[in-house]
Order: sequence, then structure tokens, then C-alpha cells
Amino acid sequence: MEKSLPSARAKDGFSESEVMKMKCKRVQKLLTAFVDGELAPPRAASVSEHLAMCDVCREQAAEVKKVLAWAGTWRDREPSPGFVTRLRARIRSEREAIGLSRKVWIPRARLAFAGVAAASVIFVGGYLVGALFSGRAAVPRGAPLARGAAVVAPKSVTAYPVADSRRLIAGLQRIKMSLGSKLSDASFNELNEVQRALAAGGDSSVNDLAILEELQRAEGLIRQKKFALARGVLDGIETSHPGHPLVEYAQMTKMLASPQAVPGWGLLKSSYAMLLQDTLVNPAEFYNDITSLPAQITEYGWQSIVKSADKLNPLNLFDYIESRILGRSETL
Amino acid sequence: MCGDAGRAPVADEELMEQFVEGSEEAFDDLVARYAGRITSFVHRQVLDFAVAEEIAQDTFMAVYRKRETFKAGHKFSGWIYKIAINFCRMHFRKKRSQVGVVPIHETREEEGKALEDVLADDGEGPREALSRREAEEKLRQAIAELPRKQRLVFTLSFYDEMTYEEIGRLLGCSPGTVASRKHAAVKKLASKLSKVTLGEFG
Repeated sequence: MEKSLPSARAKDGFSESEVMKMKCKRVQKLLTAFVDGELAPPRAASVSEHLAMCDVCREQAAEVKKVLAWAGTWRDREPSPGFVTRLRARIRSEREAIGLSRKVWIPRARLAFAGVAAASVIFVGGYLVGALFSGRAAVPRGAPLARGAAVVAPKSVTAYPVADSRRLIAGLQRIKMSLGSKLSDASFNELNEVQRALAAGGDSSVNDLAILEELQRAEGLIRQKKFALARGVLDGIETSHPGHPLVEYAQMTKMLASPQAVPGWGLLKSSYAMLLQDTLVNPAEFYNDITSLPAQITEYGWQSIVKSADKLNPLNLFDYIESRILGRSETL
Repeated sequence: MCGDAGRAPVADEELMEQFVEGSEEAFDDLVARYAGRITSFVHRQVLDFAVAEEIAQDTFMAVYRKRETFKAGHKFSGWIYKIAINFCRMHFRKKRSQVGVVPIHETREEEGKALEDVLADDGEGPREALSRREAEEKLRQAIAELPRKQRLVFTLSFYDEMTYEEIGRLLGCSPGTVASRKHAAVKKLASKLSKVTLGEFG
């Protein structure tokens, strides 16, 4: 602004002319942060000096304060008295579902495996294995999982209501239709296989639940960084259930059980763990998701579902990881 | 456990650790500490108290189910807010895909409250109570009309008293981005405030 101002130095080292040079527009952008006390001390000092001299900006600062005072009229409501009781009841019923009524749980859990496998064909088989291990992300070639390996459809799908299986088959068919061009041939064939297995019923296996529990145990150990123990548990699954469809999961989980120092490896591992966990930790939820697919399609339409599936797509996850490794800040 | 007067309160993270080790009591303590905060936070995002309570419940269920994924050394509050934010996002995604959803103006609920109750608050006089109520209603409306990202940043900063840096960590963006979103929110609220005929703020 005025160049002729005396260059007397204020105690923070800013001369008056420097302060005046700060454009009003720039100051005004900083006013909220200034009022919040979020500016670094030198910058805060120059803003307050500017305010001392500029009526327009001072008025703007007063306006910010006024807005915040207005915001202060919001009154929180207490949660309703039954909040905790309801929460407790939900927890209890879930625990009972898992712990006590296992006879009811097993068929549902088994059905969920069909869902898990179906999802893994799409999200893991189709993308993770294909894209990740072809070197898209920074992953060592010698990763424990063989390149190109994919999760195989379960052969053991029985003891579920016929209506559910029809819905599943229909859901899978629609997945194939909508993701057709995105799926690799192998994944597409595997989806077919899941459908066939569902339609035929197939032979049952009592080991599913036991393997699932072992997998979860291994995950727990991995979280505690007890990699050797975790590998032991996973090897145990492989040796005691050769050929079981879930053994593939055990093999993939081993990827998490090896501490490796590659840039982004930790992030990659935790993302993968998340992916696994979302499919395995709560089979009932997953079962609901997959069986409600046809209904959701009717309700929301394919486009929005594909869009949200796209968000879950590990490729996006890897883009995210890559951008994080490269230091860009981006939200998923 | 932590009720003894005069003793330093147990940290959230310590409670979480006890909970992971099997103490249901520790979980109850965490619920007691956070139920109000999380419900209010979600309420300010979704602007429907019943939905907010549901989402808060889902949030605590997720804390319960996924307790083992809580990483030692991290802050519990950051973790639970992250979970709640994700549930809010899911809620909005679901809502968006429903056809013809009308924005919820929840001020009705307060209106259902007996006038006496409102007046009885904090022993304010009837006139103050009425003008406060009016201002509050307009405020809810104005906050509801903020773009979602701005609303999130504004409410986290003002009501949940997080610093820009904490918010940035939570949302995965820089403090600078937080600052500009909050400022944009303040500007929008200011334009609404000028229409409110109450002059006593500031």
C-alpha cells in the first residue's frame, strides 16, 4: 500500500510497511484461524497489527466472532435414557449368536463363505492378485503368495434356504454383468464356478468354522507382531486341510505374517488386513450384504452400487497407497 | 475403577487396553465417556437425533467388535471419531441413492418440547429463552445447509474442540485445508447470520 510509511520495527520484527503490505484480502482469509488462535505467532502478530490499522478487516474479524458466538447457541441433547441398555442388548445378542447357538450359526457361516469367496473373486482374485502382484504397487516379487493364484470357489455350500441361494446366484450374475469388462477371464470363470457350486449344493465340510477361527487367531497374532507363531498357525491350516478352499486365505494371510521393509509395505499390509477382516470378521454381516444385493439393486439401482463397489476396489486402495507413499495427501 | 475422587482419571487408551484384555467394565466406562460426545457429533452431521443415536450405537458396536484393531500408541478419541465419520459417510451414501429424499429439518423436535421446559432452562427469563430458541433454530438450519465437508470441519473445530492439526489427521488432509474449509463455513454462516434479527452476538 503506502510505501512512504516509516519503517519502524515492531517487537516481532515486522515493520509497519510490511504489515500494511499484507493485502486485506489475505488477512481476511486468515481471520477465522486468527480468532481460533491457530496462526503461528509471527503471523498472528502481523494480522493483529493489520487489524489495528484497518477498519474493514477489523469489522470482518468482529463478524467471525459473532458467527462463533451464534454457533455457541447450539445445545447438545443427551442420548436417550435407554441408550446404554440398547447397546448392551445388541452386544449380548451378537455374542449369543456367535457363542451359544452355533448350530444355527454354522449354515449361515458357511453361506457367508460363499459370499466371502465371491467377493474375493471380485475384489481379491480379480484385482488384488492380478494387479498387485504384477508389480503395480511396491511389493516384492518373492511375496509368499504365488503370482496369479486366486481364491477358489468353495465346493462346500449346503444347508441354506433355497430362496437364499437363488438370490445369491442372481446377485452373482448381476455382478458379472456389471463388472464384466473389469473382471479378468480367470475371475469370471471363478464366479461361474461359485454359481455352479451354489446351484448344485455341493458337498459339505465341517471344517469351515474351525478354519475360520484359526485364521482369525493368526490375524490376532499378526496384529501382535508374533509373525512366527502366526505362520505356524497358517501352516497348520494348510497341512491339516489340504485342498480346502479356505486354505487359499491362509496362504494369502501369510503375506501379512512376514515383516518386510519395503516402502509402503506397512500401509499395504494394514490395508490388506482391513480387506480380509471386513470379509471375515463378521460373516453374518457379510452374508446380509451379499444376500440383500438383489433387493439393493432394485432399491438403489446398479449405478450407485457399482460406484460404491468401485470405492472398495483394491485398485483404488492402491492408488491411495501410492499417493500416500509419494507424499500426496488424499482421502480415500 | 476410576471413580475415586482425587485420583487422576484413567486415560481412554488405558481403558481400551483393559477392554481388549477382556474387561467389559472398561468398555462401559468408555461408553459412559463418549456416548454423549459421539451422539452430539453425529447429530451435527446428520441433523436427525434418532438417526444420530442409531449411528452412535453402530459406532460403539464397531468399537466392541473391532477392539483388537485398535493400535496401541494411538489416541482412542481419534479412532472412535474416525469410525463415527465413516458411519456418517455410509449414511449419506445411502441417503443420496434414495430418490426424492427431503433434507431433514429437525427443529420440529424442539418445538414439540413444552414451552415451560424451554423456559425453565437455566433460569433464563422468557424473552431470553425465546430469542435463544429462535437463534438456535436458525443456527441448526444454517448448519444443515453447509456443504458436508465444511460442516464436518466446522463442527469438529468448534464443538468438538479439535485443533486444525487434529482434524487434518482425522480427515487425512492438511491443516491448511482445514483452515480454509472452516473459514468458508464461517463465511457462509455469516451470510445467514445477517438474516437473523438478533443483534446480541459478539
